[in-house]
Amino acid sequence: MEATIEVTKTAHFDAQNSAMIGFETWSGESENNGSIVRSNGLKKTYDTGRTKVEALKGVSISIKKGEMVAIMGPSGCGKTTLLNTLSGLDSITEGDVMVDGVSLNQLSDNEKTDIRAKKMGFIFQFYNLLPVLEAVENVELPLLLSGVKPKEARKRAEQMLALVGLKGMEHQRPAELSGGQRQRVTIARALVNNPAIVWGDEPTGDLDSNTSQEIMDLLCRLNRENNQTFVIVTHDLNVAKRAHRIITMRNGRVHEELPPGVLPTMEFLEGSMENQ
Amino acid sequence: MDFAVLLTVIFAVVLTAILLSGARNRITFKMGMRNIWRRKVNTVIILSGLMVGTIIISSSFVVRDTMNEFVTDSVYDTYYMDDVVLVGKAVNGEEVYFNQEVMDDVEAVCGKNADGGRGYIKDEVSLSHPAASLFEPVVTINGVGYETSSAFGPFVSNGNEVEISSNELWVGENLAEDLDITSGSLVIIYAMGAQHNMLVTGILDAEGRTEDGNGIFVALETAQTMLNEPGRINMIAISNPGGVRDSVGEEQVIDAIDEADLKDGSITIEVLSSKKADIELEKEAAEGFTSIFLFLGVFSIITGVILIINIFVMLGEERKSEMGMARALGMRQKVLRKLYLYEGTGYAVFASFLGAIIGIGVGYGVMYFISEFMTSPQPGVQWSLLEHFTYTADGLITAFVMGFFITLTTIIITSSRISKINIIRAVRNIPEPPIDKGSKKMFRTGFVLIILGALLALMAYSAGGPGTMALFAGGITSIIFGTGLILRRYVGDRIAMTLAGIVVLVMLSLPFEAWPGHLVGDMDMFILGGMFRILSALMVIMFNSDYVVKFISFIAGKGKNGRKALVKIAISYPLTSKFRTGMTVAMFALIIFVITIMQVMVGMFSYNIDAQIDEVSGGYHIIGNTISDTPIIMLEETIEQNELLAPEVVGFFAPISGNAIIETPDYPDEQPFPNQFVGFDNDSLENSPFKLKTYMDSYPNGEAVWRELMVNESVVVADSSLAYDEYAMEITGYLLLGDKINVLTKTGSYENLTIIGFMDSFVIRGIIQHESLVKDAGIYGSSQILIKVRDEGKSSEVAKELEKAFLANGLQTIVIRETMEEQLGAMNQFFDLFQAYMSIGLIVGIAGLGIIIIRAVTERFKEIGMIRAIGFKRKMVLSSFLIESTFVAVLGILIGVSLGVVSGYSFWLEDFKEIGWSFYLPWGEIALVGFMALAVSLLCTIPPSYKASKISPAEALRYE
Ligand SMILES: Nc1ncnc2c1ncn2[C@@H]1O[C@H](COP(=O)(O)OP(=O)(O)O)[C@@H](O)[C@H]1O
Ligand SMILES: [Mg+2]
Repeated sequence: MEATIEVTKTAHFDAQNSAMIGFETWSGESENNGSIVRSNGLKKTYDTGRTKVEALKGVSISIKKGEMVAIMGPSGCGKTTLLNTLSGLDSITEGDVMVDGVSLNQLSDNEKTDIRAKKMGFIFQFYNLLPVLEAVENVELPLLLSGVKPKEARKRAEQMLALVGLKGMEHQRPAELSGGQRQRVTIARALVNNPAIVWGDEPTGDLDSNTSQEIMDLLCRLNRENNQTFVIVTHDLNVAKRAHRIITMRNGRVHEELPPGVLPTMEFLEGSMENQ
Repeated sequence: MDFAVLLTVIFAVVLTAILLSGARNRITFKMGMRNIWRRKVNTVIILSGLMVGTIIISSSFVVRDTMNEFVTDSVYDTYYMDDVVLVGKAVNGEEVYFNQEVMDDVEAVCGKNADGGRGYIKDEVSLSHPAASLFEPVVTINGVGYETSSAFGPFVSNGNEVEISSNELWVGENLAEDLDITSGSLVIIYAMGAQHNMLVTGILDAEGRTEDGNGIFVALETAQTMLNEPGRINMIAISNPGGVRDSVGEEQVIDAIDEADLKDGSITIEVLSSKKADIELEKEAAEGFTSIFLFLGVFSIITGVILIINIFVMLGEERKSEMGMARALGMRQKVLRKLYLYEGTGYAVFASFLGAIIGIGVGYGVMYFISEFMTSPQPGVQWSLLEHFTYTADGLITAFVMGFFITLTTIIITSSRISKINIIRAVRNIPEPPIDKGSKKMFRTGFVLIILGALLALMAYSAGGPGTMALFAGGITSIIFGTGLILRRYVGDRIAMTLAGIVVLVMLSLPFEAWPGHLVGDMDMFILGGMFRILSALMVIMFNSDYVVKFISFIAGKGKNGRKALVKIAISYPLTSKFRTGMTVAMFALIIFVITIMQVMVGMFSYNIDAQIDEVSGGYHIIGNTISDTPIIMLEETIEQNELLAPEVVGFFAPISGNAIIETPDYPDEQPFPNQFVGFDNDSLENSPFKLKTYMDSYPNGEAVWRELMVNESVVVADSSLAYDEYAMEITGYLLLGDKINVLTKTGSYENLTIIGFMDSFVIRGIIQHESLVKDAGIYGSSQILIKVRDEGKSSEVAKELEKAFLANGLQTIVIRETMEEQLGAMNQFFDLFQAYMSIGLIVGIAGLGIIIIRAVTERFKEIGMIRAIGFKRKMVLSSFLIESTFVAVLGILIGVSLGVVSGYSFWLEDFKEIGWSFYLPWGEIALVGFMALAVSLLCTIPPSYKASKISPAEALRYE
């Protein structure tokens, strides 16, 4: 047990250095950008019939265009819930979320779906791809959904796969790819539409640390080159240190916003629900 | 009962063995039993799926038992307490009166085996009731009262037992009603050229001895006087111990009579008929009808089996990780298999039991349909099937045990495959990988298939005869599939299996004639061919699924880009789960295949009704038969003198014909029977209007056969009703080409006449020879005539007028078109019924589809969340599932329809083209069935698909 902590602490230390580099790159460009996602007193209560769980107890945050934000916090503190409510995947109990100046409260399910199709990209830990489609077919899916012509869609999907380093793997099915390759396909799919915001819920959670670093390199490069906004939930300090800003959560609230270069402690991240 | 007992014993042994094994593996047994009840809804779905086979078997037994009851009931009514009936026969074979003292000899011969005997007269007279101006030309007169015991039961009038004394006249209830007779009415009996005026003593109730309520009853002496046969009788009946339905000792009585060789002078006393033999005969006739239900049922049973496989494969998949865990924790494969065995046994027992019971209900439904919606073969007579509704313990037990074994076998085979799961793949829920190209196992399986197939084909080929065509074709099919498995090593799955599939598909679509001539195919070939072709079509589609997906999404995706993605996903899913989808498609295909063939046949019959009429009628419109023995002599003159007939009748055919007795020495078990001896003149033989159905090979064509009758007095042509026909639904003749018969007439007998042809028609009945020979037999008039009318629309009027004009001859007419259309209508109704019955199988297919969609929704829960996240609207999720089920159903329907049409076409090529019919496809009807099947399938898949569309993406993405 102790040995494990030691290893993690070493990683923590390393992470701090690389995060500094990321920060510098970011600070020069972002000042003129206004916020693309903003929440105001966001509350989310799950009613399971028997019990009510207050997963979000009033979260007000603002994410700027082109920013790469990491969300961290102990398990069960509401990170996934926050991501889902901000992206319109889940309904809001109280408060408001503005995406690109539009309040999600005023949108129907279909309109929210449209916004997701046109302005958002998603990377999840598991179950990212449709097993019955080839890699390129998975990637072109969002394009087809937002009305791009099939030929054009195929071309852009192939380019995107090349960009994530999967040239030549276009016609493999997910089952025929490794975990890292699958996640690259997911990233390609999340970005092919050139979305304004990319949401990631533990995108590297299922990968070994080398692969996870490669994936983060990729994400950072794309964020830099395309000026896209990234909101990434992660447990991995190596991942978080590459963000421009880390928002930590605790017990359904924002705990603190850490400036670039400062990382939360392991003790905080491992703190479970019991001691909250 | 024997078969049922045997089955029950086997069932008991197997069940005991399983229970004993369960007692030794108590924990596994308990786990298996617990699995059954784990999820109530699941259990209900599974049980209903497993029940189907048993329901089909059970209901077809109910149909059989009810039909048997229905057809035998009238036999029991006619015989009542009589069991064996004897007649006296003259040297020429005619039935004649004999001395009533013979009764004593008969009694002595029968001894203890008989309860009693009765000598009586049963003959025909005419009866009129002048006060009501009603006349009945043929009435059965019964001369009764000469009985050695009371075993034959009493006569009953108004509920009271009555005696029939000398000079009394009793009338059966129904006859009385027809002729408006009440007790005290004055009636006239015409017998032997004399009239007898009599007052009716009373009316006999239609029950017991007079169940049919027809005929008149007088004392024996009275009948003897009337018929000029003093001291003589023409029949003896023997009653065996036991009641109406459970009499015993019939064989002994018949043997004793045969052995005793009783005589009255030159008259021999012979057994005419017996209750038991008649019952058997009726049952045999009903067999044809009931076996169709079982035959059609086979297809539904197969779909039921496929459903069972589907259900258990899915149960297996659902429990895969659980099972994998159990295996990882050290549960051995054997134990896993046992677990499935116990669980399967539990399911099989419940399902078969319920299925056998529900089958009674389905059988009742079939019977209800027939009696409510169908006209019976005899006009005016209702099918009183519901009154005779019967199910027997025998049928129920057989259905239960057969259903149990079908279910259990399927479960065991399926679960032995499931239990061979790969532990790691199972725990991590990774799909089984495709079998790799170099697989030695597949290669070896290929060789085994080729060798087994070759052996089977060789055996079938050298044996020849019934059933061998199916075996031969099965062998060849196995060789082709085997070759495919070997080829895949060199050219890959797609090419090898596609080729094998196409070759089998084409081969089995060939008409039966294309196979070696000495192999005989029947329904077995039909069932097997249908199944293998569906399997091959599925193989071709599944191994080319990529192209199918591309093709369909290309077509569907024209115009809207989003739709293309949707369609591609929707059909990629089922084409990826090849086994599951293939099974479901096969269910639809099998049933639709059979229904399509039925519809092609019905459509072709209706479309070609004119051709059929031409074929049988020889160009005539009305058939006339004289029912009394007074043939028409002056047909042409009478017509010409009749104002109404003269202008309307434009032609007639009136060969001389008269009564004769036909003996068939080639068939010692068969009784001589009365029929017509018909003489054609030179002209009719030269240009016979009638086609022959079959004729001996030694003649080049039908014309040559007819001409042979002009020069050869030892050959005859017979009408089709005398020919043996294995496919007919009613009792047919038993004669074959080349059989020798004797024709006995009033003036003598003509022996050893060879049948060289059978007519393809029922309009002229009898044995046909040149008229010179028939005239020698003392036959000059025509008892059968055919009339051609000027205006077919007036056929009925002309027919009525003819009956009037030839009243003295007792002419009865039939308008050929009306009869044919009626028959067609009756046939259509039967096909309707069969289709309704087949729809049980269709329901099974739809249930199968419903189950895989329900499964798919649960399985793809997370994927649904994901596609919702990346921009699929709710409606699109709904459509995706609906497109998927439509795709599966339509694929099955298309395969079924196209194979059915091909089969219908080859039937036409084989049997109907040569007789001048055109091929006709009832597209509308076929499409209607297809659309209905699709519509119901969609209705059933809407609820789970809707549920899928309502899944919250956030919820689904969290789902563990
Ligand atoms: N559908 C739900 N129903 C009830 N409670 C839920 C549901 N989803 C999440 N929760 C609860 O909400 C809280 C926050 O969950 P989540 O956002 O998944 O946390 P995190 O992603 O930080 O681990 C947890 O206590 C969790 O149990
Ligand atoms: Mg989470």
